[in-house]
Amino acid sequence: MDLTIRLSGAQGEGVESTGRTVASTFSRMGLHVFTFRMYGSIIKGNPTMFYQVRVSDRKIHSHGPWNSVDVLIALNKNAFAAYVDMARVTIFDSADVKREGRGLIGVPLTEYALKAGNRIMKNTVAVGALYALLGIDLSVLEGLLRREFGDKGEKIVEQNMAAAELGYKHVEEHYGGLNVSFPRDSPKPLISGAEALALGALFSGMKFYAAYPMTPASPLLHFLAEWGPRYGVSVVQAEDEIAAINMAIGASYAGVRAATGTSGGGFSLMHEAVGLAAMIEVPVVVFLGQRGGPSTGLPTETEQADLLMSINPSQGDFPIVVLAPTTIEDGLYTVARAFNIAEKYQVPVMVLTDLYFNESMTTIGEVDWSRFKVERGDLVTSPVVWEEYKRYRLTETGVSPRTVPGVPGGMHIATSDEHDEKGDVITDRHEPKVRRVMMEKRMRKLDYIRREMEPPSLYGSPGARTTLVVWGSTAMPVMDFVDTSQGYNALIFRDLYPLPRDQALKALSEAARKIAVEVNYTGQLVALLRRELGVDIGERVVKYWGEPFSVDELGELMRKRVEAVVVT
Amino acid sequence: MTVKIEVRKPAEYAVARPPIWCPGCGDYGILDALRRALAELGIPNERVVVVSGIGCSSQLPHFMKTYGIHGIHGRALPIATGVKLANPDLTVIVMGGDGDGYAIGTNHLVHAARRNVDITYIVSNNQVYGLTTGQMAPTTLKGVKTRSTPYGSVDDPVNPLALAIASGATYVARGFSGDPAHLAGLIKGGIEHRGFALIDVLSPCVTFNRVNTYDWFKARVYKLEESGHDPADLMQAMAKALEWPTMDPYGRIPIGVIYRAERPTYDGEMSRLLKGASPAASPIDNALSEGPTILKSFI
Ligand SMILES: Cc1ncc(C[n+]2csc(CCOP(=O)(O)OP(=O)(O)O)c2C)c(N)n1
Ligand code: SF4
Repeated sequence: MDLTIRLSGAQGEGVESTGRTVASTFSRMGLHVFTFRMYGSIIKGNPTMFYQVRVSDRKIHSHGPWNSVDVLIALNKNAFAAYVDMARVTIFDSADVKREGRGLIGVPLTEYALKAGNRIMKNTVAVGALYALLGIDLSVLEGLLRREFGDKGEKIVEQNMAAAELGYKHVEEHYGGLNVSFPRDSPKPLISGAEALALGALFSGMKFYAAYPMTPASPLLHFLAEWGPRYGVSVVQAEDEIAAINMAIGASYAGVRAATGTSGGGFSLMHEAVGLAAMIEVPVVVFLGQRGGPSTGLPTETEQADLLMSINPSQGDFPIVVLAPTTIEDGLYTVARAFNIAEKYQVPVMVLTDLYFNESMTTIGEVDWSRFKVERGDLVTSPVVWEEYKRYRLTETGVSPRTVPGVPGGMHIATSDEHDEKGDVITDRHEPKVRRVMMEKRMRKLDYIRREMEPPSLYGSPGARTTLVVWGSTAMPVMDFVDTSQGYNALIFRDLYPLPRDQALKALSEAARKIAVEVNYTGQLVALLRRELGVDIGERVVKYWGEPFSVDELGELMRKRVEAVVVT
Repeated sequence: MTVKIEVRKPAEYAVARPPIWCPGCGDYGILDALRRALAELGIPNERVVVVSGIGCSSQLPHFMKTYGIHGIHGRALPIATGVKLANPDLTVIVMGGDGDGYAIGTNHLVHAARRNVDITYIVSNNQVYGLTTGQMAPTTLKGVKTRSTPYGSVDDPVNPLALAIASGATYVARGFSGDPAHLAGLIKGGIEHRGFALIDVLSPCVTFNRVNTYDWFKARVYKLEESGHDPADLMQAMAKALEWPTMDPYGRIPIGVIYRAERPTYDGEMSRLLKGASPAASPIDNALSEGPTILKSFI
């Protein structure tokens, strides 16, 4: 069983919350769910935004097909016109569209909503109709409505139930149901990518988060603002992104795990401070949720075009780490690693996701709590002898014992100027020797970090004829594609910088035909692999118009590629 | 009558390395005053964090035996805000130049003031860019020739004190580095004050500012505490703040506490949200140990 349901209507008319109700219906039944929304940078209007819910009885990784859906719920005429042809079954307001035929289920949505008490409940009528179509008991809905509207009073819940029942009965009487059955399991948590990151941060002991709102990173701020204070986390809405990251660096210097989050535009403003963190060797985690660029670009649409920027922000050479979680579940654990690496090596760590990742929701399985082991690195909390203490002591790994304010004897000035082991500025004179050893000390950390980096993981059976080379969230649709097609596997990069060279080279050399799949124009992973490994991935499939890849589209693209090879 | 005991000596906050400022630079007076203020308050070295931006004046933390961050140009206030919020028990001092605070960092000044975060911000106002060798500063008086204004500046100067009061700062003062004892009192008052304190210091740059010299200031400064000023009166305070340079750039210059008010601090409000916990003092694994329960709310 694998169904996709697309709800479409005007932005601002509750498409998303209705979609969430549908998604929660399935997650509460213990099924696997994945959701995706496509919308515009406008608060109200846009008549055909959509929210897609995919449900399955086996593990799924993406939103499913793009060009065909099983059920369309069209909440207005435009939505009907836009998507009816791709749907097996369409539920729509019979007052909007006068059409009959196979798979067309006209329901007087507005009329029923009015009858139940208010026209805004038209979406609930449609959900009731969907329940009938899928043969789901309305008692599941009642629980969800109670959660959503419970604090508004029992009357609202009752009215909504009445609305749903009208939709339900209408379909039951006039159309009957689809032939599907849903195995039941215990309810599963349903979380978005942004929530996975924020939860990961909470579980990792992050105690400070500062950010300036920007799609698609804002949901982290919202979530942490609500949950953080319960666990001693200070959450600040800063005056801009420059302030946000500098606050995080200050908090981290004071001894707590700290992070900031933004999208490309905000991260552009943060560059100088990323260099500061690297120079003063203060750990900081930056959540970078990409969206379409350049400039304001596509504010509400996805892209993966900030990979190279995240590896090379700011002036000068310095160590930085870039991790791009590949699935929402992976997001939870990647954040735990990000905080550990940041503290162990006293470096900035980027957690690189995108709008598709942050805004999609999925059900997750059992959490492996053992993967949240906190490793604080060389953190000194007991008194030291000031005359002897050197904050930037030269060590084999390049990592020096770090004191934090409050530790007697550990006083030092962390400076953005080049400095000596003690932390004194050397820039009032020419000190090439000190500069060399300090530069080498910082850069040396990369060699040790590299050993902790995980090689690309192989998804699917080894020895497949074609290997799709991907990174970050594109892994999600690609994994679904590999699962449902013959002859393909995927090499998935999560740890992007520094690359574990030998292992990555080996993995790439074991692949027969390689095709890079990326959501950007230039093929930034291809460029990175060429730069870091000298490997050329000759073939690439890219898109840069604000959509993630979808499993059906991948099938078509790959078919065309194979044909092209046959011809030449 | 209480007898004032000097708990510690200013030298206890000094490092062996002498400052690297030009001889006669106003910043020596600020350094001296800051050490005196800390000594009088007897704050342990390890509980003090001195944060700065970039500029001649921002070198100051390097001459202090305390914790500190010599950060990036204009960003000292957000860095310091992070330090203070993470561990509100620390005494956080910020030091920077007028370019650092009133040009590139103005945004942060406005917001740190409005939040009333409990830090003490000392600005070395030398009315010129020292470190970058003598360009116009946002405090340079109109008509003054600098390396970037060879025909005389056509910009009107900013009024940092009026700006700070309007932004919500709760302790606003002006000092003169030619009078370190008086300045030490102002800094001490700023540290003791709970809330955002701005102490703008007339601090001559003897190398690049040939107009606003020690003598120039000596001829103009007068002490507010000797002139019946009431710092609790907002309107009086605003009038005093506007006196120089806005009303008369070549007129008399009030020094002392211009404005003082009581208002909840940002760190205090944050601590209220955190039910008394502070990030530095709360257990690192408190959310993890409730992980399974937290996840239940996503069902
Ligand atoms: C982003 C950035 N822009 C410019 C500079 C160059 N710069 C360093 S200090 C400074 C201004 C110094 O003037 P001020 O802040 O008044 O301090 P002073 O040296 O006079 O004490 C400038 C422009 C820099 N370091 N960083
Ligand atoms: S250039 Fe001016 S501000 Fe800088 S150290 Fe010399 S006198 Fe002081």
